[in-house]
Amino acid sequence: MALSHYLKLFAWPENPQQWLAYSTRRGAYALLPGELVAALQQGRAVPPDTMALLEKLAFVTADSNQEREDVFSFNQRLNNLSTILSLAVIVNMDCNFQCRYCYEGTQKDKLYMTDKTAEQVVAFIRERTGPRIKKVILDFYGGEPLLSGKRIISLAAALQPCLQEQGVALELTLVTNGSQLTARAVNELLPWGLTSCKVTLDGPAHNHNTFRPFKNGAPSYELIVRNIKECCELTRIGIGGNFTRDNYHLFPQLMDDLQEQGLTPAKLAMVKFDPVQQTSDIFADLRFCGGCASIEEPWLAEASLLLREEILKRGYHTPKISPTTCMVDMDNSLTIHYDGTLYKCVGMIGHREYACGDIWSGMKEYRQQYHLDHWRKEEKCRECVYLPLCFGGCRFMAFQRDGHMGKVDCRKDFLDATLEAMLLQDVRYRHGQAS
Amino acid sequence: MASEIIIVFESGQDDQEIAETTTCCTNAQAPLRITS
Repeated sequence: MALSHYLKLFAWPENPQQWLAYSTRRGAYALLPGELVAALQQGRAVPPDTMALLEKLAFVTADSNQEREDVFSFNQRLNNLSTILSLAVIVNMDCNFQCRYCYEGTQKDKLYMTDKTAEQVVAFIRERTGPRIKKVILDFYGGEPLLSGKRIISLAAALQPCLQEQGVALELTLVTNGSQLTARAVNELLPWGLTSCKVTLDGPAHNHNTFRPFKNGAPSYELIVRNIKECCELTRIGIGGNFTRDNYHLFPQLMDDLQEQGLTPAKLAMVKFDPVQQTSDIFADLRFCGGCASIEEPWLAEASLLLREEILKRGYHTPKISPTTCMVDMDNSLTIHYDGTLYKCVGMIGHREYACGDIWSGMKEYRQQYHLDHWRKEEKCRECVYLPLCFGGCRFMAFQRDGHMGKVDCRKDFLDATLEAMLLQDVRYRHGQAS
Repeated sequence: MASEIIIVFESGQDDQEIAETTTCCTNAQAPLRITS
């Protein structure tokens, strides 16, 4: 047995005789005695039960070459195992907000999915629900998806009976600005499988209202918070928020306000903040220039750590650090645009050169278009301990940076700067251990 | 050197569990992948 190539070891701050070990392959982490780490590094004998535990956590491997092959074929294996058809459905390109940084930019208009398209969306989903599929997840986007509440219900109503007949579950989720998220809207969607909503709040009221006002400039914060309070016991609500280098330090005030208003950790499924991305494509609003253009911007590590700390400190739920998949790499994950065009990333809608078929003619080959496995060409990726957490990073970010997806969006510097601190946050707040 | 001196905080996810989590892009801002 040898130490895994995908193992990070960090000195434990409280005791130099211990190491915090993290598997980027599995997302497992544990505190190991220094003597054990030394024995493993030197190839000395370790008790079988200890070795079995370390193997289960993916800290050691019997065959380093095989382990590397397993990671290289990770996405292929996940595709073979997946039983979920996961579709982002853009029901319209209309919005009642005028967010300063919206990545959909000038594409937004009064464009709605038609009856004819919706009918074919149902047929397309039915065709793709093969015997291996156990669940269909429809993640509704816009524009603002709740401007198309009736369309969401009609799609679900047309799908639910035939999926039920096949023993397939239907789940609906929403990414919404929250302005239309009333108890009535939620109650209408619940019977059709609504399981969660993600609502965006960009920090405290004054900042949020600057970045996410209604189209007429009116503030939106108060209404959204009122709606969340009205709906948080009806369905799971997660809070997202998009920060810039200039305003991230204000976001803890948002959580203080949510708590004061009764939106405690028990009432919210998740809180997570991400940087506003600086877009530079043909749809970008060139008046906005405060976004993050690369994960390598040094301020991002500091901002991400600070906000994660503030979230966990207050007891809110936020995602753990573990391998996650990208829609581009998953065969059963697609974006259906309002007009029936198919894409492999929600960020790419409207960029016709990235359309990969439509709901009438089906999916086209997209391997080259989206540069699948582009990380294989890069030695730094093939050798990287972070490969399972990254697989070449975000193609949308690479596209905004280079105008194409051919090159990777390397996360190494960011992970070098944040992983240890994030693990220590998790140990402290999720497991109650001083560090 | 017994296994009880190892403190396991998270045992992580196997491939099946990872395959059944949703993809990273459930956020329109294409978030940092590891924290999604």
